[in-house]
Amino acid sequence: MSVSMGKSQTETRSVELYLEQGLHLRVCSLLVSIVTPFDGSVKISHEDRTADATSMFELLQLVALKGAVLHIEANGKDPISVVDQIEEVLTGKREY
Amino acid sequence: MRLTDIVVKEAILTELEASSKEDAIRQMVGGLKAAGKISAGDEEAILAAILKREELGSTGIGWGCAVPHTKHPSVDGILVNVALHPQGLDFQSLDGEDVFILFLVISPWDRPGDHLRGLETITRHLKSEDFRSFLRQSKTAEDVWELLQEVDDRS
Repeated sequence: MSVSMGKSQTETRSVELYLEQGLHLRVCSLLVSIVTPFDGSVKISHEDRTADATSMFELLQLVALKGAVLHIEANGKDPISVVDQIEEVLTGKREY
Repeated sequence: MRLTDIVVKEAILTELEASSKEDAIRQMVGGLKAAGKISAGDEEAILAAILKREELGSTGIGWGCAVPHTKHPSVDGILVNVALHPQGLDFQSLDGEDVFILFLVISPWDRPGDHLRGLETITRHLKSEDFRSFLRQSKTAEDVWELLQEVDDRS
């Protein structure tokens, strides 16, 4: 779902994690590299925990295993593109 | 999960003088062998697996911390060794900074949940600037252990 607020836009999406080893460190590292250049903020939530997706330390707190549903919220310029890239990683469609 | 349940006290190294990432990891794996937690027969394979993982991307996660790790069928539960490198070590970290604090993790082969919970426990504490600061001031394995007990008791 995409919501426009002036120049800044919000994209939210729920994604089922499809990675055998869950949200492990190398995946977190890839997410950080995707999100860091994004002009805005990205949060990823799992159950009652929410991580700033530019922080390795926070992403590692999510402890998400295969089958977990992760909620992504991106605010900023062109959030759909960054959420698309995150979804590709979490669903195992992007190799790393 | 508690740090004192997964860290091997007898293997802690507080004065690591390694000149390279490989040297540091070798000493830390050696510490676990010397403590009787891994066998001499598994030592080289575990070391090679951890180094191979580093080739895929550094486990230097920032703020002077690294968490080199692997999974190995010879361990029943998570084994962690803590080492401090007072001079700072080039670990090709994500933030480009030297590493002073290392938590080496060996997890059972087929329990990704345990592995993730182990990393969660370690990084939850490493997020704290106070914890990192006190850890870097530790001079002996006993100092480190007392700090781990303290933070375990508070969480």
